[in-house]
Amino acid sequence: MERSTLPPSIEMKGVSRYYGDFQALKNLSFKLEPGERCALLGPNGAGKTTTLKILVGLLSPSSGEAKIGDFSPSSEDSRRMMGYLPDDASPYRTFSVRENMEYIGALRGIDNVSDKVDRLLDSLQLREYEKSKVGRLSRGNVQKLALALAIIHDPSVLLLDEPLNYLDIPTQETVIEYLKNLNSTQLVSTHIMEVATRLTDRVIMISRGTFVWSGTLEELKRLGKEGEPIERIVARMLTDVL
Amino acid sequence: MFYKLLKFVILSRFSKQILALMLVLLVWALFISSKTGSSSAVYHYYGPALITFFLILPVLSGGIAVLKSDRDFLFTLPLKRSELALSLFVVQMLSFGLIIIYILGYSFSSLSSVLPYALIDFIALILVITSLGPITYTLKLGWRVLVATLMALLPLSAFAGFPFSPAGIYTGHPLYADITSVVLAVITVPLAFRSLSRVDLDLMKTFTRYTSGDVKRVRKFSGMSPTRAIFAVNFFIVEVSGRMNSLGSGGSYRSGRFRLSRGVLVSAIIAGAYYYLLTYRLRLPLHSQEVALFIFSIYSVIFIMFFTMGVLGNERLWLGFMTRNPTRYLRDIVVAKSLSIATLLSPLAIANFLIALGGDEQALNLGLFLLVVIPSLLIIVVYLSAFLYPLQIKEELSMPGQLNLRQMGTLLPALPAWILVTISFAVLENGLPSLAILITVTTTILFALIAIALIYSDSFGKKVIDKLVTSGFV
Repeated sequence: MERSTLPPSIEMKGVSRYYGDFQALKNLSFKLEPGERCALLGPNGAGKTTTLKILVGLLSPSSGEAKIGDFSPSSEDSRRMMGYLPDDASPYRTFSVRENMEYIGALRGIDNVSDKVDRLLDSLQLREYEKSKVGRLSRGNVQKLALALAIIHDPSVLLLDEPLNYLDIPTQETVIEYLKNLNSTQLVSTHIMEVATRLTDRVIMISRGTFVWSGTLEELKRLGKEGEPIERIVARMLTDVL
Repeated sequence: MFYKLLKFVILSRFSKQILALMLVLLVWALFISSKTGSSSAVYHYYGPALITFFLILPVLSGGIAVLKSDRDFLFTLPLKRSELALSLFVVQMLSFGLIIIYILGYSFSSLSSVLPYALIDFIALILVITSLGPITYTLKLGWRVLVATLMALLPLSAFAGFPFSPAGIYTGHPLYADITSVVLAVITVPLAFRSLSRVDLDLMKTFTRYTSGDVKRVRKFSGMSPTRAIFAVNFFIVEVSGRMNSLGSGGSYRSGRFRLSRGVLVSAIIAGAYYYLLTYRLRLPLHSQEVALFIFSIYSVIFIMFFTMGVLGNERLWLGFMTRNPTRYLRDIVVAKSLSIATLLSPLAIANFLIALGGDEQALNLGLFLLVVIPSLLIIVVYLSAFLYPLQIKEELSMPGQLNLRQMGTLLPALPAWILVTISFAVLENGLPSLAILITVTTTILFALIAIALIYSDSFGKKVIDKLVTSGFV
């Protein structure tokens, strides 16, 4: 099926989520336009991971609505479009690198999955480990494999939680280049401003489950004093909320 | 200092509630053991068979009750090695010993005339069983199979009339049984302490060996449909894993896999031997078909628990569950695994049906039990464990988490199956074969219906996925 040139939007409308009595998200709303790349910033426990899990359809909102394009995140259509990389992602431990990629490729219904796997093995420098069990890999190589699994089906919506964790600098550059060339809408959850600035153009800040601020990186810089590091600006904004 | 260390080591592995339950079980077992009067011959077979099982289990599936955080923090502290070893030995004994006392406690009632000997024998055996995990967890599989075989021969030799067997207590050799068990304990306990005092070094070496290496034959999934790929992984490959949601293993989590075709071949060989022995009534010391069937069915329930433990623990929500509707994916993998187990057990079930045609009604019970109840149990146990206490396996050779009371609940679905076996056995003993069959058929249908209802309930499936996500599965 031919995919339309514009990737879908990502939207949260008044989403709240409870874990028992604890409210992790409080009436959270934001929208990413088609093709936009945004960073989701927030301190520990802000609700970033919950937000991503709702957007990929693994959690249901207690109230409110999440949408991927025109679809609910839990629909088959949105699953087909989405790629998801959780924090500290762990592939199937008892499989080899190649088996992981071929299995997920087959589940995704990719034609010629072997060719696709070969291309990813080469571009992410995983070729020498293709027969290795996942348990044998270094944390960096596990992260490369996890990324490969998240993008194996050329998703038009990417939800990434700390995608550059554990990667060495050359691989970080390869991954940044790869992600920038994807025709997709991307939401990147991160603590690290450097990651946000390299991978995205806009920032959404949340704290304690509520929306704090949203704007471009340039607008964010303008909120600070002359020469003030962007990290300090973010820290001040998040501390003010706390 | 030792007391604080011991308390920390115990409470980091066992919840207070489960410790309390263990105490209740211990008191109950002692109460049962103090009762006299039972003279059922069953115990004379049941006792040695269970001793065999518990001697094999720590060697094949066990390990040591070590948490990942121990490796990162506890083992780096300047602790006395002897105190650390003793603390780990105690938790090892808690994870094994009390259950053994509880289970074997029932057989004490048949040993009233030799009760002092029986107590010495079981105390020594508990020390041996506790020691076997720490001694053997560093060995390669081949060596562990050899040790397990030797350990199995010791109690089983009692059936052949060999006096120096730990199970000799059941066959009229209490003194020799005590001598054998005490000698075994004297050999194994110091070896276990030696192993536990250098646990950090040995564990790292074993972990490195366990996780290293390439797969021998890379499986190809190219060109497969999604459903075929799921079956290739979950039907044609059988995964056996230990220590996830139930007690009874040595502590650390381990898993292994084999091809279904090979498993069926082994199962067919065992079924052939089983059919031959029971049909032609060889003059075995174990000359009671009912007892053989009873022991066999108990074994099958215990072993089936190991097939269910890794089903969810080894799954990855962000991968498989993202490729299609998560409830459908869960249903597909669970159905594939259930059918895989049914196929694996089918030669044994067929052997039982053939025996039943020869006029043994109990064999029909067992055939249905193997072919329908156990595969249905797998589904029920998997879904129930998701609700009660799901644990995702992120690293092997360590405990995935603290053992608590809710995990025991995972075993509950197995109880009706055990009760079924016991009732139908008792009913048969009383000369009511048609009632025994009625009980079995009714329970079989009930279990199958529960399993089908669980896998086809979308709302229940959604609750399961939600529970997994909120429990920290990634």
